[in-house]
Amino acid sequence: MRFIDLVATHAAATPAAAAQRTSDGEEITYGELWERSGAIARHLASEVPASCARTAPVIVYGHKSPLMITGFLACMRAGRPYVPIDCHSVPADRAAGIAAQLPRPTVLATEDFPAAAAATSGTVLSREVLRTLIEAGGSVSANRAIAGEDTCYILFTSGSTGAPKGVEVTAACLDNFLAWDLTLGGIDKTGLVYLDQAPFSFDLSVFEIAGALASGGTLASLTHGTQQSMAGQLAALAASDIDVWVSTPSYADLMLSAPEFSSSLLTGVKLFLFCGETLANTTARRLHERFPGARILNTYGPTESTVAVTEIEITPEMAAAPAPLPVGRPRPGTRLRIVDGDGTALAAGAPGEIVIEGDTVARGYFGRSDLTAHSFSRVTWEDGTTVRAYRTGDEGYLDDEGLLHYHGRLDLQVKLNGFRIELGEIEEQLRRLPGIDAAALTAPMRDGRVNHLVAHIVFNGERLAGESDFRLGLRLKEELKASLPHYMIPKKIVFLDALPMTGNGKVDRRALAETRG
Amino acid sequence: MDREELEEQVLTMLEEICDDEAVREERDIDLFEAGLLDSMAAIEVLVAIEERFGVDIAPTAVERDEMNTVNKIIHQIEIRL
Repeated sequence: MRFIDLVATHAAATPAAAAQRTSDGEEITYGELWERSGAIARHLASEVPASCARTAPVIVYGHKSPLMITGFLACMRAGRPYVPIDCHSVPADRAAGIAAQLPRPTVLATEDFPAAAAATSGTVLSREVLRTLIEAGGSVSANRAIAGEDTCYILFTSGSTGAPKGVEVTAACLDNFLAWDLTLGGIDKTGLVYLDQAPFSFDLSVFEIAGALASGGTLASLTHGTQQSMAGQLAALAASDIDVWVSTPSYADLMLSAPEFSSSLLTGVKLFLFCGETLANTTARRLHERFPGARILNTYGPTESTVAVTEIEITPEMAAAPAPLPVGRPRPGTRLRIVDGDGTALAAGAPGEIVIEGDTVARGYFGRSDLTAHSFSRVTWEDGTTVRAYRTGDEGYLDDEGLLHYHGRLDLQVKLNGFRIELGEIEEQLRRLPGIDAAALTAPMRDGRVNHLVAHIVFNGERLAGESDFRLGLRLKEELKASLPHYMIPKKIVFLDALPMTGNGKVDRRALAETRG
Repeated sequence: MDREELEEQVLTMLEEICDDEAVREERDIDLFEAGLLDSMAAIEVLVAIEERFGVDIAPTAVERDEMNTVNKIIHQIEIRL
C-alpha cells in the first residue's frame, strides 16, 4: 500500500488523533494534516501540468513544525518531489547552492527563507501565504499523488567536490522501505509515539515520519530550542510518552549522560531503533540496563538505499560480548554483495566494498548523471527481477551466517555524530576563503568513532593586527559557517607552512594525523 | 586548593578536552561558538570536573550559557566547592 494512502486512511478513521506534537507545544491532528496538505497541494498542482510535476521539485524550508510535515504531504499529493531543508542545520549559502541545482523550485517557506537562496529559487510562499492557502481550502485529485517511479523526495548530502548532491528517492522506494519498517521489532505498530529528533534534512528522520504517519502514530518532535538544554530535553521526553525511539547512537549516548534517562523517565519505550553510525557495545549495554523491557535494533543503510536496509536485534548477551556489533541481515527485497576494487564478488568473511541491490535503491543524484553513472547501475536477478544497485563506498564483510559487519569508509567520507560528511567538501570550502592556499582535513577517532574534525591549512593571507593563530582560526571558522552546517565546521585549525606529501604527490593524511597544532 | 591552583587545573582539563592551548589566553570566549565544545564534549567537562575536583554537576543543573567560557566553568566549580 502507498504511504500517502495509509495517511489518508488514518485521516478518515481517526481525524482527531495527533499526528505530531512538538516540544514547543505545537500540535496537528490527522484531520488537520490531511485538510491543510490538500489545500497547499491544490496550489502546487496548479503551478505545473501533471506531466511535468515529477520533475518540478519543491523546497520545504523550516524546522520541526506541523507546517513542515504538512508541506511534505502537500508535495506528495501534488505529485511533486520535496526537498527538505532544515533551517537550523543548513546555512543560507548552502540553501542557495541546493536551490541553484534545482529548476527554479517553488519554496514552502515555513520559516524566513534566506535572500541568497531566494535569488536562485522560483516562487517563495511565505508562512502568511501558506496560511491563506490553507484558509481558502480545497483539495487535489488522488490521481495526482506520487506513485511508483515518481520521485518522492530529494535529500541533499555532503558531496566531495564542494557542492552537496541530491539523492532522488522514489515513491516505490519509500513504500517498499515502509512495508519492512512496520514489521521491525515484532510489535504492533498501530498508533505508537515516535521520537522525532533528527533534522528533516537528514534521512534518519524518514524512519520516524514514515513509520509514525503510516501507522496512525504520533511524532514527538524535539525542536532545536529544546535540544539546547539537557533539562529541557529530559522534561520534553518525560512528557512525550515515546514508544519507539529513533536516533543516532551518539544522541542516545548524550542522553545516557543524564542519570535520569531511564525507564522511569520514558515508561513506555518498547523499541530503540538505531541508524546512521556505528552502535557501540557500551551504548547498547547501558540502554539494556536502564530500559530492561525495551528491545534494541541496529540497522544500516545510506540515504541512497532509503534510510536502512539491514537490521538485527541486539540482545544483552551480544552487547556484553567483546565482538563489535553487526548491522544485521538485509530486508526482503534487498541483496548485499561484497566486492573488490574490480567489482568481483568476494566470499563470506572477506572485507570489501558493500554493494546494495534491491527495490529501495534510489534513482540517483538529481541532475548529476555523471555521479549517478559512477555509483548506480541496474542488475537482473536470476528470478528475472531487474533492480537498481548502489556502490556504497562503505567497507564491510558478510559473515558465515549472512550478517553484515560494517568497517568504515573506503574514501574521505566520515560520520560525525551521525552526520555524513565528505572531508573534500570542507577542504573545497576552505580553499575558497581568501588567503588559504591549501587545506586538508583529518578526523581523529576515539572509541571507534570519529571524535572531531581538524583542518590543516596553509595560510598566506592578511592577518589583523596582532591576530594569533587561534583568533585567525576563529575568524576562518566564522567565515565557513556561511557555507557549511555547524557539524562540518572543524573543531581545530592547524597552520602549516606546507602540507606533507606522499611520494606520489598526494596529501599525506597519515602524516597529518600525527601532526599536533 | 587556592584559586590559582583551581584555575590551573581547570585550564589543563579544558586544554585536553578542547585540544587547544589557546583556552589559557581566551578565558571569556564562547567555547561553543568557537567550535571547541559541543554537547558531548560539555558532558566530558562535567565528568572531568567530578574526577578532578569531586564536584558533581548534573547535566541538568547547568544550562549551556552558564558554562560556555573558561571563566564561567571556573565559577561553576568555585560556587560548589
